[in-house]
This record gives sequence, structure tokens and C-alpha cells, in this order.
Amino acid sequence: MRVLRAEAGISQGELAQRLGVSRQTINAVETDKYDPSLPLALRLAKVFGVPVDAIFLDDWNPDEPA
Amino acid sequence: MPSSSMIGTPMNQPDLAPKLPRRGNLQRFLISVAVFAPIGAVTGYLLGRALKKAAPGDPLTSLTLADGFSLLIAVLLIVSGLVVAFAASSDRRWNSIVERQPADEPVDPAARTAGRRQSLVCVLAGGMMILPPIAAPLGLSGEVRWAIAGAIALLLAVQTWLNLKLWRDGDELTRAVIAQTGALCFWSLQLALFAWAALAKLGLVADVDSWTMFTVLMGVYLAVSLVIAQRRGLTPA
Repeated sequence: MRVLRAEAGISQGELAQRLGVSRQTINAVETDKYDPSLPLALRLAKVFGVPVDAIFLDDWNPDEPA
Repeated sequence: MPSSSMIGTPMNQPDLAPKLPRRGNLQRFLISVAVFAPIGAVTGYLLGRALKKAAPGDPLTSLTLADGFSLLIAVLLIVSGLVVAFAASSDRRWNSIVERQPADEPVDPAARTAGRRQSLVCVLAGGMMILPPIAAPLGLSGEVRWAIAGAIALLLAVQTWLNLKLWRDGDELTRAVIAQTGALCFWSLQLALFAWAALAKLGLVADVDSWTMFTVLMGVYLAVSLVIAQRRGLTPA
């Protein structure tokens, strides 16, 4: 997400303001300290114009037993 | 839209971001110790002197271990509240102490407001924790003790209102940290309380008084909230 944000040329504070969250929340998401809620993840994807799974990876494979 | 949280799911971002530099952490720690240790020593000395002056002799020595710990927690709360208040007193200080970013970066006014509220919550909590153990051994009249109880009730009302404002105005990370802290404290403390109550009922351990239970609760709450806030990146590692 940090790369996408850098490409968009916006700071953590600006992104936070756009999304209505604190800068610490953006920082926590970028440093893997916090997984955002689904609404916030969807909004992040909208801001960057990419699918959610381009920002967040899920290692789970449906073909493998849980 | 259902409120769905992904906390706890194995979801990760691609590991493209560079790791945060850890250099300077030791230096920062040593500076913090050099600054805050003398503050703690002076605060402790002044508090002890004030106690001795207010009630020389017996009252000071009649403080129980729980009283001592609650006073320690109270002083910690007040000092940390004052530090946050100092940080929230200007954008420059907020950036340098809390955000750890260049001083000229724009600051979200809501973050500073939350910081001011948080500092007031800490100072009020400390004040409420100091009053009962200090006032109890002074041999005050019933009227004065009721007046102190009234003052505590007033402080509690203000603090509760501030806590509600922090929750309502906080974003999802703030709320997640508050909720996780509350949940962890509830489960760990109810487990400990049940274990102790069962042993006490069986006559195997002594019963504990309500102030001791409250002191343990506050100690656990502080430790848990610090750990969770640090893990979620709200406080520096």
C-alpha cells in the first residue's frame, strides 16, 4: 500500500483525511500492524483504483484443507 | 453494509514496503530514562513529603501494599497525561513526540483534540485514584469524606463523558484498540477473580478488599492497553 500511495504522490495524512481515519490507522495498515475493516479496505481500493486483492494478499487456498 | 472486521484473518500486504529503521531506539530509550527518571524521583519525593506534612506519623505507615500500588499507578497516569498534554500543546511537539514525523508536517486537528482528551482522562483517573488512599487514613469527619466522595463522583462523570467522546470521535483503529483492551481485560480478570474467589471460598487464601481488586484491575488495564496500543502502532515500539 505504501508503494501505491507513493505512486499516487500523497502523504499518509492526506490519505487519512480522504478516508476519514487517523494517520496512525494508515501507518498501522502499511506496517501490517492492523488489518482494516472491509469498508476501509474497499475504500482504499477505490482511492488507488485497484482491486482489493492488489493491496492485500490472502494466503488461503480453497483447494487446500483449512 | 455489515460491519466486518478482518482482524485475525491471515491477510497480509505484499512485502514491498521497506522495514522501519530501528536505529536510534536505544538512544531514544536512554534519553527517555534520563528525562523521566528524575521527574519520577522528584514527583515521588514531593508526594511523600506532602503526605508526611499532611498527616505526620501513623497515616503514612498505615498505607497498604494496594494503597502504595494505586498511588504509583495514579502518579504514572498523571505524569503520562501531562506528557501527552505537553505534546498536544503545539503541532510541532505533536509531530515530534507522537507522530514521529517532521515538525512542519500538517497535523490532523482531530488527532490533537483526541490527545488533549486522552491526557485529561489520564490526569482525572490519576486524581481519582490518589484521593481515597490518601484521604482514608487522615481521620477526616464524615462530612469531609462525603465531600471527597462527591468530588470523585464529579471527576468520574467528566471522565466518563470524555471517554465516550473518545469512542464516538475515534476511528476504527482507536475503537479496535479500546474494544480489544476491554475484552482482554475482562477475560483475564474474570478468570483471575473466579480463581481467587473459589480459593477464598474454600478457605485456602485470604479474601481481598475492593480497593485491592480495583488496583489490580487498573494495573492489568494499563499494561494490556500499552501492549495492544504498541502492537497496533499507536505508541512507538
